[in-house]
Amino acid sequence: MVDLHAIISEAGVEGIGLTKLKEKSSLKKADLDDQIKHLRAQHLIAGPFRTGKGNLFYAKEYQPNIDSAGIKIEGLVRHGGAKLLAKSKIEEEIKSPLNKFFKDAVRSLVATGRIAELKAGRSVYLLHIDAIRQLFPGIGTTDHIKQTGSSDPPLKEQVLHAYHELKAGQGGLSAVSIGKLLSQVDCSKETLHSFLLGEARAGKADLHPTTVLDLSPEDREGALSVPGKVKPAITVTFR
Amino acid sequence: MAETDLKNLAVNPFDDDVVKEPRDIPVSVLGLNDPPLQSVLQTFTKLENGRKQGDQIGAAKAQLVISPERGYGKSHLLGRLFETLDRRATRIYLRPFQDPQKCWHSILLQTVQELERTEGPGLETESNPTQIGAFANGVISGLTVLRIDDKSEPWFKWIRNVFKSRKDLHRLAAKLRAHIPNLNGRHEAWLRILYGYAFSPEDDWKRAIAVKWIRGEPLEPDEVEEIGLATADNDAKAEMTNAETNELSFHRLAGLCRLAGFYRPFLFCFDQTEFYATNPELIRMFGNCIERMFAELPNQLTVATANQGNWTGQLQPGIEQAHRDRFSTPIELESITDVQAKELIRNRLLSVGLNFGQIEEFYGTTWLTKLFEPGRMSVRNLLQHSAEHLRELQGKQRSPEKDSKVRIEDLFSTQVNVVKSKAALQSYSQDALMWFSQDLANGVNNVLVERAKTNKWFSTKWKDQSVYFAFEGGDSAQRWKVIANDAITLAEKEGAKKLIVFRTPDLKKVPKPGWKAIGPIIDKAVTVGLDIHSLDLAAVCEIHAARDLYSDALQGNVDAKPAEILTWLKTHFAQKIVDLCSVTSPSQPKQKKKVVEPEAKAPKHLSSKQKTEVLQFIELKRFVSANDVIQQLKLSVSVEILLKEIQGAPIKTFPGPDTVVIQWRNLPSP
Repeated sequence: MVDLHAIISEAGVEGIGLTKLKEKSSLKKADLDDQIKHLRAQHLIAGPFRTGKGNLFYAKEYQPNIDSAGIKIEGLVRHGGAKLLAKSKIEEEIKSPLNKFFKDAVRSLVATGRIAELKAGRSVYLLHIDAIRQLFPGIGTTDHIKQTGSSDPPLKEQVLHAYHELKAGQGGLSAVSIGKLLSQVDCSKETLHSFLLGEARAGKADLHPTTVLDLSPEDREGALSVPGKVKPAITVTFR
Repeated sequence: MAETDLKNLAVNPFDDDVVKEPRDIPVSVLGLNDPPLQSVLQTFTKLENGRKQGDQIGAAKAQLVISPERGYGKSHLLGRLFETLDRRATRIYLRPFQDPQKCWHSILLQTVQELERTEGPGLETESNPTQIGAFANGVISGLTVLRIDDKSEPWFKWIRNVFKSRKDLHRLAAKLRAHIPNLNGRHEAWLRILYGYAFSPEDDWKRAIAVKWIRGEPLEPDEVEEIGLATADNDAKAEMTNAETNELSFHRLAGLCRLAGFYRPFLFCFDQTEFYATNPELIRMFGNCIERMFAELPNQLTVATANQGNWTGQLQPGIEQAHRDRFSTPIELESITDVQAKELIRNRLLSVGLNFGQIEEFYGTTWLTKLFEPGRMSVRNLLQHSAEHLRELQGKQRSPEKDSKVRIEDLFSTQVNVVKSKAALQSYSQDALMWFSQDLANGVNNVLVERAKTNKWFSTKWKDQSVYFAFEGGDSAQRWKVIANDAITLAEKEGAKKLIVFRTPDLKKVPKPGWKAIGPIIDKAVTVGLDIHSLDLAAVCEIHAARDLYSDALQGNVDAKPAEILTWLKTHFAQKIVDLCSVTSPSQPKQKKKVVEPEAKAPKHLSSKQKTEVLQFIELKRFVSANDVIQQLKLSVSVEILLKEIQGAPIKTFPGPDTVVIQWRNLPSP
């Protein structure tokens, strides 16, 4: 049985045209139309979108919008590491139909702190937050929270802040010790654990057990027992 | 024949949860780990874009692939990289080196073994050449860019004519020198070596000589003559210090990379890097290798994998500060989503002959949803849950918690069967033999291992037993003469009782019948204790499996601590170590036996008629254990020989602790 959704998903943010779909699925036109209709009705795919490469279909999660343009832009900027990339060069890389979302996507990425815009004369350069954190490991610390006057930020903000700080401190590696997080936030272990479990259930975080044999007392202290799993989670990754 | 269903499956398709060989990976899941793969591919593409024949493209930083934890698919990603790049790259998979002083030697030997593997799956044919065959042909044909004649003649005729005239060859070498100045002065030698390989039929002597030269072994005078090298180009000497061997190995590797500018880039993949953490000097040298590859080896991309915990806790802190910058920003692997999990499970169940209805039965109504309730997980975690779920559906009782020794015994037996199933894991490994005689033997029956610094060849010593080890996979008469003389000196001056050099079945037999001049020296060495110790395939599988299992424990791939595994292995190999220590009593004359051969147990090959019968039998049964094949067809070969003999057939193997189940693969691909 042909999994048309899988074929369209595989094309990711590039999308896929009817001709290629027909070729990859080996379906007759009538059957193909039927299946497309069905997938659209289930909100699993979006399209067709008119582009320079013809009419393209996308899996719902990759459909052209500010978010998918943002994913593509962020990927390109992150890949550049500490090398400054001209905004105009990045814009050239973003092809139709994502290009019409380029400006909004950049604004959104800047607003959410994923990238920074740096101006030099008339040129604008983009730099990813991971590169900034690697260059300035102290950036985004709790001092910043204090300065902004938010004496008691909500738990989520506190955790994410501490998470990014710890992540930067380990060279941008995403899996951060729950024990270390615990020592940086102002809440009980139970509250943190319950928050992390909730984020994992919502698909916003991944909880990992560990292979490291000599866990530090801090790591052991943070160990989170995950329902249905034999080994406790020691680290967490936020997506 | 009973129809396959969930209850009567011959194998548990989810038990295969560790990738051992990047050229043999299970089907991938759509989308999973695509961003890290694309990231590495994007960097690789920079080596290809706008490249002209002969260009020397500087290396990018080593691509650091990090898994948040074990089981997120590091080795699988390397397999996908191999698969995706296919003939765009010369692909080299590197297991950890054991001796920090000879790291380049280990990397070179492994590179040559990888070069001798075919481009695609299956045996060597004209359309499926070995990587070294493709490399030699590719470079030689790429040299046409250096032609100055009218170019109307086909390139192969032109190159043949060049090699017929000494003057033309000098001229071509000079042009190559102008293009790549840094070939250590071996421009003409490289041309002759690659031409000798490319224009010789399979199994030709010239090919063997070419490979021997690339490996950095000294050539015999007749070999130099045959391939047409100048005497000075036979630069490997019988007597070389570790540093000299290491440096020559690096030069050979650099030569390969620089010449790759005329063909296609290399891809070097360092996997199982957790192993380096067993010795701070190994970590330091690993960092040093990455730095030198970045700085001095063009036309290649290096990839290194690690688990995050091992990387941040052990490897990175041990790598010199200046070398840390030679790794890219981490490229992180992803966890699996429920949709991808469904696809992975479906692929695995389809591959063992189940249909879609039976697969739905496996998912049930709530099992998968419940499994993903606490969030995403690693691929291995999913496979382990799926394996357990299948056993539950089959009504197989969860085995009571096994005693740690029994558990490790099962792990080891499975690992031995894994090595028996994959010929690539059986090739001579200097690193595995060193590990066996150093790390594994240390402390067993009072063996105290020390590095014998004064001696180049017999570099490992079991102190109280006066047993020495040298590691040499080559067959150069001059080098063996040096080894024999060293053995005599050690026996006479240092009181060495036994001097062991391991040989494995894939190596050429030494001493060779034609070694008339050095025969008496080897004879004398044997009488004083030289033991050219032939390991049979079963012994090789055990030693390689032992190192792999220990490496798995270091990576957290198995449910046992590295120290537990090592202790068990020491007990398991204790008798072998005692046997290696045993020497003929001084009252008895020492046997004048040149080679200690394993006892002849079983034939080493199947006849072509037997092979046909075996394959027909497997096709008929669809799933059958290797032991059953041997018993029912009344064959007198061992399991490892049987599996070696049916390589290249459309089969898949499922190694377990008791046997290896063989599946005939004529099933529709999922």
